[in-house]
Amino acid sequence: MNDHENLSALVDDELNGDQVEEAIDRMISDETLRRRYSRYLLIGELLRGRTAAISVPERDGPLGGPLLAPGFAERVMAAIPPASPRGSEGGNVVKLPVRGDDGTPSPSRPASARPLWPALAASIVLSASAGFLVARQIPPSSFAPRPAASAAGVSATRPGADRVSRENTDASDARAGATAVSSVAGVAAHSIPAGARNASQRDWAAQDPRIRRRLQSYLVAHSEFLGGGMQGMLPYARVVALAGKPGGDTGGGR
Amino acid sequence: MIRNRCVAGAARWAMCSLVLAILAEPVAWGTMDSDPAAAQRLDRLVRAARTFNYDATFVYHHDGKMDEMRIIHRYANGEERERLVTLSGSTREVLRDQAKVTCIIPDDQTVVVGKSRPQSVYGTPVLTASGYREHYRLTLLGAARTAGRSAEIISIEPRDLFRYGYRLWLDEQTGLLLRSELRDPAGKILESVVYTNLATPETIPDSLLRPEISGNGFSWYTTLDSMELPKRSSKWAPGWLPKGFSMREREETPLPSGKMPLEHLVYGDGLASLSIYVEQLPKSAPALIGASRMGAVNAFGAMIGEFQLTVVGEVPLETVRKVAQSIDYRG
Repeated sequence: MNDHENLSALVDDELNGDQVEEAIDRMISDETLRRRYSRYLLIGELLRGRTAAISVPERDGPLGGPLLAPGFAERVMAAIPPASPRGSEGGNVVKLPVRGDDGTPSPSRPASARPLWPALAASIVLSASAGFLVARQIPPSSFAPRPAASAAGVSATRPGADRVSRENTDASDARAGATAVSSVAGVAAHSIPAGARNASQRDWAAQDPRIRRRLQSYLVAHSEFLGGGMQGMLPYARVVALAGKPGGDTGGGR
Repeated sequence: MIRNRCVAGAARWAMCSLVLAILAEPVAWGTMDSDPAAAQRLDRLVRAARTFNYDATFVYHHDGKMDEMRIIHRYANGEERERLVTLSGSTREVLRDQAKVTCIIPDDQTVVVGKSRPQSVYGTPVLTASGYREHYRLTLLGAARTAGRSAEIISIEPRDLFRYGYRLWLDEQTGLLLRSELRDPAGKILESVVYTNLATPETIPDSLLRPEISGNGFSWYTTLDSMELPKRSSKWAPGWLPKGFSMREREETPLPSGKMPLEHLVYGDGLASLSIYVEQLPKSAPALIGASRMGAVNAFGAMIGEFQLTVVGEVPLETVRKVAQSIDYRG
């Protein structure tokens, strides 16, 4: 097994005694593995609803918000049914591997209700005994609950507006005709990890080239729908400007 | 004392009326402060952008950088053809006709080809988009001079924090765009386009609409096989959208990997739009998790099982994130 698979197995309590020691030895010497391990623990905690919504102050807007929407963990867990054979009828369980956020696959795990908590508890004890505290990876302030004023719903007040608009929701079209959300068999939703906070506003040029190309094709397709017809081909100016190599003329700040 | 009671009663009545007026439906409130003349100018712009021949150069200012570009547009026999080419840095081109849009990016040795939609986008006057004025305040700000031409300035101001606004300079003579600024809800300029030269010739030869770069040896990515599908039949749906956003289009594109097709859902309010992409990624493909920014376009990615969900939009980051977080699957 590679390191990624070892970590997954460690979290899932699938390693024997010698393998556990080996996995911990690897983490002691590899910061990347320690960070990944802490993310797995966080993901497990979030899926079990044991962690309050994590507030992420936004750099670009006045609205802070939870990293995950309230009820996200419950929706995900409700969507994960007990394991049943792959491809069974009725849209039931299909085992889907969980992808690590670096793109490396992890071994397919049954999306079972096998509790994660004992594995986490054991892992934390083992981590502590190895001489480092995984919890230190996640600042306690990250778990602060969202302020009550904004928790009631997003206020869409514009700066200087002379009145507060109603909560800006209009899901009627989005939900029209929708049936109740049935289980997506075997889907273990890959929650947005704490590291995504650092990825906030991450420039696409800094992304993996394969992600960049995918985003580029998305942007090309999306550009056809931009501007309400007012700007002709101008949305594509962004496509070609973003595709240029760094070192285009620098016009200074605005 | 009776007189004082009457005065007090009248004052209370006036206050109630004022409160009721303030709490009136946003449509009524909104249309009271939108300028019909501004809306007419925008309709004229949409028609002009489609039906005029023009050959123009402009500077695109974004992220502290400037790119100079040339745009050539021809309208003949009811059909449009146009070409956008960079004049600074490496040569990059976009060609567009009635059927497709072709982006040639030599830096990445890449050609991206997508479907063009001249009817659905260019044929829709801004004013007829339902609820448009409910979500934006349109104002005619005055006159100015730019690119050596007389212009009128139009302001399109969003009424909430979930969409961007614009300031547009429109040529008095033709109605064409001479300058534009994309602004966030706080009024901060995110990017701008300033035309430095505009010509409207009677004819435009084919030679001006042919690419300088062949694209031979490049990697080609295409979504030309995409099929438009009924809007309500998607298994994926956002639970939250900004007010006034409705589904505009849904399409699927087969993928060479043979996996489930790429699904593309488009939502818009008549001016702003966002797309939701759902793609079953190969095991070896990296996933976008969290936020990414492409100029003024924000993207937010998440994985559910093997499915990459990506929300892309020329809207604030908070908007794409809220939409992405709300996406549900219905089996």
